[in-house]
Amino acid sequence: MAQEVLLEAKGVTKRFGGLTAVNKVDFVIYKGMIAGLIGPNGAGKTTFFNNMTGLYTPTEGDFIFNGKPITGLKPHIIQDRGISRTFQNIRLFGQLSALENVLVGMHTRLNGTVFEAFFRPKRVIHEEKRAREKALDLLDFVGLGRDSAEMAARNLPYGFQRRLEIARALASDPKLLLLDEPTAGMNPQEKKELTELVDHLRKELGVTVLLIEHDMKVVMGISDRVSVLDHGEKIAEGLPKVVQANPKVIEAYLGTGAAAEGA
Amino acid sequence: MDIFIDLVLIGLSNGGIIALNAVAVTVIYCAVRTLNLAHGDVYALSSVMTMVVLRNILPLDGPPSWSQLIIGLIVSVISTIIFGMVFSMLIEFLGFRLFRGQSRLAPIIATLGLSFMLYQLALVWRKLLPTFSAGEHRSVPGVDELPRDVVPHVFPQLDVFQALGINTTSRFDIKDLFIIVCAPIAAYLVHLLLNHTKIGRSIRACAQNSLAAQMVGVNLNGAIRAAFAIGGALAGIAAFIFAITVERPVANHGAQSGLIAFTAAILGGIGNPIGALASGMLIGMFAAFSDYLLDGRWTPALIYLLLVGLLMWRPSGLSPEERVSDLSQQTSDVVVLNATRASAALRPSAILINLVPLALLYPLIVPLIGEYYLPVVNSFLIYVVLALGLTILLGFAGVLDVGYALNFAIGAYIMAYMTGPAMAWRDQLLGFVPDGLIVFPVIILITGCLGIVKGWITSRMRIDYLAIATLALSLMMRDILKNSGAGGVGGFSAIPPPTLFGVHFNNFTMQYLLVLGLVAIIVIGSYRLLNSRTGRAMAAMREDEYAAQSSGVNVAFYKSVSFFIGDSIAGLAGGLYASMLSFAEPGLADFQVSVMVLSMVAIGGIGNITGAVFGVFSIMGLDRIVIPFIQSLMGEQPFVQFTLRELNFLLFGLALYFSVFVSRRFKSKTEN
Repeated sequence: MAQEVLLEAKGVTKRFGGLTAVNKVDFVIYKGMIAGLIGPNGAGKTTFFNNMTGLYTPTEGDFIFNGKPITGLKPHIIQDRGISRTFQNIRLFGQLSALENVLVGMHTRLNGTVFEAFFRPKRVIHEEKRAREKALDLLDFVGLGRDSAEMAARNLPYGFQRRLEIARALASDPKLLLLDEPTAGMNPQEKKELTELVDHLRKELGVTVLLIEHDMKVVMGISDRVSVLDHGEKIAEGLPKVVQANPKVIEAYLGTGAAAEGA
Repeated sequence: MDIFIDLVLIGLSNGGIIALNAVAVTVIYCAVRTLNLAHGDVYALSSVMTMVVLRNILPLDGPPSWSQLIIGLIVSVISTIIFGMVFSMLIEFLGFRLFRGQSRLAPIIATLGLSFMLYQLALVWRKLLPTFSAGEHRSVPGVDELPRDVVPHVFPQLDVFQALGINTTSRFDIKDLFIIVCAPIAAYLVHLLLNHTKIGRSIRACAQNSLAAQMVGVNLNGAIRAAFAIGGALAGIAAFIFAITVERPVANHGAQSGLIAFTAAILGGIGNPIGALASGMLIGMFAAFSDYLLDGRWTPALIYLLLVGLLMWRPSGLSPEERVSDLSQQTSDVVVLNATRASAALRPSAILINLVPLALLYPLIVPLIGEYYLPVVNSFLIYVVLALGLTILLGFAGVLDVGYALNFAIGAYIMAYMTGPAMAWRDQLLGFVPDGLIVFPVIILITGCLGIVKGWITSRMRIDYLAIATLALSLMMRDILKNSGAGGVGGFSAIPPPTLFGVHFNNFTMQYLLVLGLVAIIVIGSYRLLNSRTGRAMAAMREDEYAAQSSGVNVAFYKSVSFFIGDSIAGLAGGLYASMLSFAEPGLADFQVSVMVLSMVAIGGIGNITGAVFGVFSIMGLDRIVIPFIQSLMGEQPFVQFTLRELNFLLFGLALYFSVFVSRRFKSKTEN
């Protein structure tokens, strides 16, 4: 199968003062896959995300997205290039309605300028109308339903907030969707539903997904490939089943003794 | 050389008082991680306390006896310190504890409100003091005298240099020696307190990491309260020293002394009492030299400039621990309470609700109250313009601009320059007087660009620093207008009413229609903005800056856009003000004006268009119609007249405080 590279990380390193949070990580994501990124707490998973999306600039190394380097670009430009993300601790625009949250996600795909905001030419009226319809469709797609569209995001139930964040990220038709622990704080039933949604995303929208997850079950169930970070370094990568059995991974999760016993 | 010694001594003694307040600010900052805007007012109010105590013990005329002096000093210093501590702890409770863990913005607005209430209290208290001493004749019967808020003499006239037999023309008063000795002692005691006592350690532990401190058993509330008590005691000491050496209470609005103390505290490396002491002294010296070498009028402006510079240098946090904090973990500070929903923009009825009452106001009010109030109604509408501008900047985009009046004044001055009488500069450059209405686009462009500059200066600042920096910038601009050739303290007068192609808007009805038209444009524009890609980007930025960036919003660009729109509307209001009330003065950039507009916006639930209109009418209505009406009922009692006229500070203070107070209740309700 000739796979097309969507994102490539080359020797990405991030240091904060003396602390190396991410250490020379090489990483490839192919178009259409669901890649899992796991690792114990403090392994550098979210820092890796933050480097990719432009919140941090890597100390060393490069990210290449769709054949072009994106290292050091501003977050909004990286989003415009086609990488969208959600956050570990949900970060919605609390006082805006669910619909408006999705419309903000569509920001880079709309053209209305500051002047047009006041003069409101026909073109912008049409654009707004289409954007609204598309946003409502997206809310439907992630399972929020149109009834919640006008509710303030902060008043939505927790599970809906997670889904709304995914809808907002999808609004710009991203090529790569980064999900940062999308099932955190959910019960098994909710986790199962969300996992189905992620699977659905790829099948129906053709989005490539990079998933950070704590819950092994979730990652193992849907990922095509799993990478494991520990102390900022990539210690294992491969098919979920294979990675799961890797002594290094068991050690990272459970400590040295466990690996010896397991083996 | 003698002049140099003189300046150093003046600098050190002025610096001593600044230093004490700087140490207080530093200790409080340690505990709550933000600046306490009401600190300067605790200090100012405490000085009134010292005066009251001393006036009751010492004779106002003639030298006191030794016993009187000793009892007076002991009683006044103790009572002032306790007074300062009590008020500081009260501020801690009302301004900080009630909002802990919610938002960084709420304490800023709350303490701003408290600051105005304390200022009002000081004004009324000073007014309540006897205006003349027994046996003295009043100069003109029935006329309100200035309050005799002098503090009795405490220090003997003694030149230290002379007493020591040093041969110099410099003077070194015993008073100055007193300050120069007292300030370092107090600062050193605080240093010892922080480093060598249990309570000091707990304050520092909370400063490092409040969560961890709590987990190892530090009482967070207790530590913060202790920090405020120390700060209040220092404010008390500083006030006591000021009152007995200058022999009057601190008369300025406390914000000014507060800002100077902040500057010293930041310069000294926040959290470090010895550093605050040194930089307080340094700023005192700097002020003495700049008073002598440059001009005393420019000194405050230079200190504000220093403050803004320091905040630009450390925009995300003043102490090292704050600067390394993870950006992605920062919570957003949202103050907006009751924002107009974007969906309202789709209904014409929502827009008409704002405009119809305004349009009806004039025809209704003319038969009711007569021609006299027409200019008042027009000035109401000008404030509506101003409040709508701040609604966009603060309410839509979340920029807490505490110096919003800056561009209001600039707009008024541009109008004065372009259309006012006898402007040599304009006559040379243009050779004609442009129409007032043609000047408006110029004003919009200039003030909008100044707004962008303001946005750039504050672009990387944390929201509480942004508030302080904008306040300092507006005061700096006020001083520049006051001191430069631009009309001086009095500003410009006799600015003609607006004109356009020979049409003169020289009667109140035409002016009313003109402003009403502009208000209509701005209201409709605001609704359209709210419901556009731009407005949504601004709102997203207000709610969560980082999530907005990650959703593709260019935050820097939309900040500039918000500043441009908000400040150009302020400039427009200034231009209207100058041409309709026919004058422009430096006072338009004053803190009071900014806070008045802020309180108008706050009453209506920041971010709400209808609310802003309502806020203008409730505050201006009280100020311009209800209070004069009560005054006319009360007759000619000078005390009542004075007090009522001054009550607007209380009004602004209450409006600000209760808007955040209500928003706190509202938030905790929706989140539970």
